[in-house]
Order: sequence, then structure tokens, then C-alpha cells
Amino acid sequence: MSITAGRSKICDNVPGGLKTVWLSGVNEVTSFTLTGESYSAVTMEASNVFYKFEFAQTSAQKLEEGTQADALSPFGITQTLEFSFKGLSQTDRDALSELIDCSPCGMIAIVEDTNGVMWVLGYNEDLGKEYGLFVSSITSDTGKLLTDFAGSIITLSASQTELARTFTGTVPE
Amino acid sequence: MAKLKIEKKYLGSTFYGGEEKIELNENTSQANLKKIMKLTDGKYQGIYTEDEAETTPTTED
Repeated sequence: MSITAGRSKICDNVPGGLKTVWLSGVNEVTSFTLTGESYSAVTMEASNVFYKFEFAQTSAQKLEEGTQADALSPFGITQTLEFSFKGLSQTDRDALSELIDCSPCGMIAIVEDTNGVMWVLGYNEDLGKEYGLFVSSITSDTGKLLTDFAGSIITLSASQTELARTFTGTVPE
Repeated sequence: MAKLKIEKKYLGSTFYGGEEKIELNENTSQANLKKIMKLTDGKYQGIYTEDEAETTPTTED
């Protein structure tokens, strides 16, 4: 392999955080279509869709951490998606329960960051949908004080062999 | 012009690309299949042409 392009700096302000999170079970997605290096379209099994999960402002994050033990070891990437629900309710409990039920087969997420760029998590060209996102932790907490956060913090994780790609299509919802 | 066909695995699926939502089944029109190919720069794995399915016979000189 060789390096084929350099990189130019960005002079704009670049805000952090996520704007939107959509999730679907891996069994509902047929495939993503790679055009160049990004995904331009998605095909869903039958007429399944991605479901939008609204979250507390400033609580959502897409994190990718890559590690390689030494030059002989393969590069591994852990994708993490975290977001919080404000408040506790039966409806939220049911939604979280569905995510847990989907974990054994896995989930695929499309997230839009605050710069308007969409990313696909839990799916890649090497592994397809075999290593989807699973619920790695849920904290549901009432807090103690009147000023404490009362709600749930959800973390989804996936092991991948390549960095998340951008998605330029329309999210089926 | 070669006829576009849908791979068996993709029958019953729904394609979402650009602003298009196209159901993939035996009745999907050639116009819609061409639209999908255009939206994906001809790289959509669920569609092939009749020509691609045929094997070219080889002859030994």
C-alpha cells in the first residue's frame, strides 16, 4: 500500500457532538452501497426502516478508538456510541429493552454529527453486518438530589476492522 | 442495451439512495433499476446485466 493523498487544514469552527441517531437491527439491513470510499445508499430487508432515537442535548458521542499492539498485529477499532435519555419512564424502559434484545445479533447506527456529516457504525466492507453494535452498558439512575441528572445513559459498542465511513444517502425512517 | 436484473438475495428488499425509495422485486421497472445504477455510479451489488451472467466460451488456438 502507498499514501496517495495529503490533507489540508480546516479553518472553520468545528463543533462537537451528535445531532441525530438512527438505529436498526442488523437483520433489517441488506447492505450499504459503497461509492468511492463512502456509502451512498442503503438497502433494507423488505420495507424496514431505521428508527430515530432522540436524546438529551450534548449527551451523544461517536467515538472510534484504534489500537495495534505491534507491527505484526492487525489494527483493531472499537466504535462506541453513547447517548442519554432525560427522565425515566415505562416507554424509555421498553425502548432500552428492545436495544438489549437486539444485541445478540447486533445493530447498525447512522449518526449525524453537528457538522451535518452522517456516519455508519456497526457495518463495514470487511465484515458487513457480522460485527454490529451491541449494548455494552446502560445506566438508569434517578439521582439523589433535586439537581441530579435523572435518566439513562446508553452505550453501544462494536469491534471493527476499519474506520466508520460517511453516509451520503437518505436515511430510511 | 443489456437488460438489468436483480440478484436473488436482493429480491424483496427496498433501496434507499438519494431521494429515491425503490422496491426490488420481479416487477421493478428497468427505468428504476437504471436509476439505482446511476445513483450508485454503477456499483450497486444487487443488480447485474444479463450479459454479465453469461459466460463467454473460450476456444483454444
